[in-house]
Amino acid sequence: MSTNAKIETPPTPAPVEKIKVKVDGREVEVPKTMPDGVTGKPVPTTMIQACHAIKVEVPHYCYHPRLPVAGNCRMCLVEFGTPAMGPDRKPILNPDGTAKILKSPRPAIACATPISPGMEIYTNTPNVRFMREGILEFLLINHPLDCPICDQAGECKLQEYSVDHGQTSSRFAEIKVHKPKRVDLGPRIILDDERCILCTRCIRFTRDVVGDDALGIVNRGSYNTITAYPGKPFDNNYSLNTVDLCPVGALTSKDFRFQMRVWFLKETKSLCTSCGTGCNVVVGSREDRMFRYKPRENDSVNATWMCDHGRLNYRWIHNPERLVQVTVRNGAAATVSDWKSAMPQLAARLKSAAPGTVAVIGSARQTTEELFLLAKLARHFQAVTDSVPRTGPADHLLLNADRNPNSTGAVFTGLAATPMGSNLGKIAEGIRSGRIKTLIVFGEDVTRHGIGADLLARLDLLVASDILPNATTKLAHFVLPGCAHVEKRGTFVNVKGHVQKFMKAIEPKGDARAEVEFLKELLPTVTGWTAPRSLEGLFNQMAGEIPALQGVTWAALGDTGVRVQI
Amino acid sequence: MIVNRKKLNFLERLYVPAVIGGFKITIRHFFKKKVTMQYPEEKWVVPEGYRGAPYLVKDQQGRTKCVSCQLCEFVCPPKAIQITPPGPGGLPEAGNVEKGPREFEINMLRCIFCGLCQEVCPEEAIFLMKDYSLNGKSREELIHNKEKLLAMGGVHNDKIQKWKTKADEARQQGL
Amino acid sequence: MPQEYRQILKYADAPGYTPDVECYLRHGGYQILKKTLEIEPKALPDGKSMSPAEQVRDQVKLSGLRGRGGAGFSCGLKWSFVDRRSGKPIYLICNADESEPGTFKDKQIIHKDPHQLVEGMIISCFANDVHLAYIYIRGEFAEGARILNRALQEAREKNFLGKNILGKGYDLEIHVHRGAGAYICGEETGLIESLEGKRAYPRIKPPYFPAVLGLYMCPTIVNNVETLCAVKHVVDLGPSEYAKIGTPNNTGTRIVSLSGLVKRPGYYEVEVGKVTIRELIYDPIFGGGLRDGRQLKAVIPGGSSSKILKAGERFKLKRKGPDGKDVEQELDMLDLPYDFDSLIAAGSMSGSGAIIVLDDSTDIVAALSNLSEFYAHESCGQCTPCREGSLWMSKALHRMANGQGRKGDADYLLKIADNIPGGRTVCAFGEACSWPVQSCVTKFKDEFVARGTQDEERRAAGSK
Repeated sequence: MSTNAKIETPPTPAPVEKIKVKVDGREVEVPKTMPDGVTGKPVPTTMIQACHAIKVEVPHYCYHPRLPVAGNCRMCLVEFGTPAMGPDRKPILNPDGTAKILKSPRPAIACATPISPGMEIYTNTPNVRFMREGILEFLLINHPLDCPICDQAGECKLQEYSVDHGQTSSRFAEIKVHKPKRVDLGPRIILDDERCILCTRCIRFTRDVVGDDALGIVNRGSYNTITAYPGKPFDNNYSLNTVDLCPVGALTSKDFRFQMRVWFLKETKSLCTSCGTGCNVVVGSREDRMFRYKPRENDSVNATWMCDHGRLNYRWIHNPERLVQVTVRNGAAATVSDWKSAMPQLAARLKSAAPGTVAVIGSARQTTEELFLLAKLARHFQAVTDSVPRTGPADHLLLNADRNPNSTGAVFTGLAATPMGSNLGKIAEGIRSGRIKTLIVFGEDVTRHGIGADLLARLDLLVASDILPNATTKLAHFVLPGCAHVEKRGTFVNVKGHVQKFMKAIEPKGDARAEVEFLKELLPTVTGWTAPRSLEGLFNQMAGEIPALQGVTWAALGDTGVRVQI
Repeated sequence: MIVNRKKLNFLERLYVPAVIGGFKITIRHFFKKKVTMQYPEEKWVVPEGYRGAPYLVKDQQGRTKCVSCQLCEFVCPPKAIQITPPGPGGLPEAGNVEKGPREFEINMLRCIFCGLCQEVCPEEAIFLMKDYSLNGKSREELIHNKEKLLAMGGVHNDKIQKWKTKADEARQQGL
Repeated sequence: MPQEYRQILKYADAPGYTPDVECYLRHGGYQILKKTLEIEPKALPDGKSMSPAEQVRDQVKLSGLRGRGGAGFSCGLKWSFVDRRSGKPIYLICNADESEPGTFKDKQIIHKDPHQLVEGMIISCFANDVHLAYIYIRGEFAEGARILNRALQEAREKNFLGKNILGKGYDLEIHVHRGAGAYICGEETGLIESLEGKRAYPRIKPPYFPAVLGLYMCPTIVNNVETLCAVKHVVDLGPSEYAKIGTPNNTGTRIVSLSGLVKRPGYYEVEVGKVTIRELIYDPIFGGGLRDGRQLKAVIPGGSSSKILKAGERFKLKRKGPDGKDVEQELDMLDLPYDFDSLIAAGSMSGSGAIIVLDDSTDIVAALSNLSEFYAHESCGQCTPCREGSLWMSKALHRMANGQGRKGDADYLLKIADNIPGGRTVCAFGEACSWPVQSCVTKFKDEFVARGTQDEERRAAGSK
């Protein structure tokens, strides 16, 4: 590790030629080409990108910056004009010296039409508004309008644009086309074909981003129906992204279906903890209950996607078995205690432990700050430390083989041995030989990693902090209930060295407390070192002490984090 | 501010004319129509449009009309309404509507009878009825649950049965 | 005196003429191909030389040949758009997906003279350096596909196809691909998608212009059967001779498919612009007039998607007078010369060359309902206006045709139809499905309003 690590910035692409266009009379300069959303290759900049550059909203359904362009919803139709060219191939000028603009007689879809120098785009003319109203009316005539029972209500593009461009009453006097409802597309997805507006975002996502050509359209015209291949469920590990992509309520998640209306959900920026990729997510919660994860855009980590494995791995947070009480055990008798009386007892017991007789096992699922404080404690006792490696099969997109969210953080803080897990055997041996008398375990069940219950029984002092009860907490002299990541703040460092922070979405259950809080309470008494009071301060202090994090500050992390060298 | 009291003259100081005036008014009321009601033996019949206690109704097919859209819960100013959505499976009795409330509670201790829940309901499932006499022996008793709300609301005869029409149309189209 | 001018169908109906190669060779077949392959590079005054392929392309351009598929776009110009510098192979596709209601000309060529198409294709492929070509034939033409496959096999056996054709070092293979029965496959980018094995969703233009990004994202030429046959005659006669047939800017011959309520429906090959619609309908050698006692109501001049012309409509057209000056002339609809430009000037189009004649026994509401139903059924459903609009119009017209009309239905239909065409859709199907409705309802508005009023009154009387 170098002493002066540098913060990596994404490589700046070679400068691209800029061209000037006008959007609704305002001039904007945009690059001639922009990276394609899927392949990253430079492709000509389109009108919609030029409009976005100047913050002009062009309504759209099928267009998505991360998907290939389909151009089928026709909602983004705009009018445009290009400079008139004389026979000498030079622009014709108006009397006032400005270029004469030839307005195109036909509209163009903003999502697919490339811009050209001097082009003028009109997004708000009476004709454009008339076309939008027409398209929206067409989309709505066969839509079932069952918003009261639709999970998308509240985040539905059809609803949003109806408010902007819709009519107050329908002139549709015919009978609607009915299509299958409640179609079981796969293990995690339900499809309502009536609600579908056939934008094909889901088809393009699974075909072009995931590489699993699983969805398609059958029938013709207004009877078009999205479907999976007969007998083949739509079950790839990214299928739930199609629910996010769906601009209407056609694709719904079986997990989130009819659980809560989205307008009640508080949105908190957080991270997925299921693997080392650290996908950025938004946690949807209401009244201290978490309902869902949704991916959050971060180009240097997860684009706009996340895997189903990570998305559905949150049920444990509301497990009724959660550890919610501080427990102190004396011999066989365990008594329920509280923080106020248990902490001084624990501090006194730890203080009497002799250096060299202590081992500390922290989890790579804990935040970097917690691991940093644990490392401080360990250093005071000259303790043997380690973390538990956790692996699983990786895939081609986001899921990493390292299933710990913070392995890099565990390495940075010095808590994990190299390679991770190689000290576990030494600790077991130390306990067996009687050299190690005190074991501090955070977030792991060590009985499953070579330190069996028989060994734990030999210890003078076993301190365990965890979220769910396990064989280790059952034997611990002090059980300190900790918090799930949605109940606290902190940072993780992903496998590529991306330092990212996450925010608190819900209150912890019962007596459970953020680990940082009670470690900060313990440290001054045991080691004589006082941690900064705020989490921001603690992070900045840590960044100053860890060479790899030199120069990084909590404030600089922002919403999308900072890449450091590992 | 200083108020200057007018000095009373002799006649005013006697009080007798004022007392007589008072008696006149009282006696006049002996011969008027009675306005007092012998509640609870006699019950007040409330006018149309009276906003009493909110109840849930069923449709002609016996289905709870509420589809658990939770708009009333959202709009309720004193947060008196709490709805438990049905969860992923929906409710078996919901039929082609797919969704209904697993539990629906209105805390009548909080309700302010504003009628916003009725106004916002897209399904015409909740109505403020002419019930003004609400009492109970405990706080729990005044938290009306779905069963109680439905029992009090009864059946609402709709002219337009949109969910039934939808199901019929779909059946005609071979679905 | 109007008369047929049989060029492409010269032998097709001759007694004893069969679609096999021997018969074709006896009638001078594949001679033009031989002539084409023997063209020598031509030296140009500036020292450069013009390759044989370039010379053929030049001839087609000079001949003024316009596409016979529907849009009437210049064939030479279309070929000149092809991206020849990409290094990718160039493909040629013969569009034999003849599905426009009222059109049955390509079928005659394929069934009666398939080798003429094959020869025309080989010449066109040679002119464009194409080494792999396809004939995309509509799924319903099972017999046509069988005939074409046989013809191609015969051509291969005679070395008109395959490696080193006629020893001149040119390789070409042609395959027949049968569609699965969708009108939209006649749209060139829809056809390309279908040929690639996908759903026939027309591509968005830009960026997918077939001349640059066509079949398998390679430059591709898509031409109609009749156009490819005409190429053979262009090379045969030479561009200036060919341009003498027909009228200026509307050169060559066209096969007109005449159908509807005339005495002699059928196909007639005529010089473009030399015959008027009146002659085509009433002349004894063409349509032979309407059934006895009937009056003309309307004419659909270029396949069902073209705008209808009402009997008695008059148009002001600019035409070249005998002295070469533009003269404005007011013409009755029937006196319009049957060519590309006059019909466009009249607000309609000659499209695929299919004339559908309606007489006064026709219920215009029912006729339009029938047409609309076709378009609602054939809309691919890719883009919103056409997908939803076509079915909406069809449902409304079906309701009107079945006695459930309303007084306001004429305006209702026009409002729907106005929201579909004019660049709102991915392909021209949007125009194809809305133009008949727009033109019919506008031109026969009184009938639509009367029908709606009548229905409303009857319902009101019934409910009393």
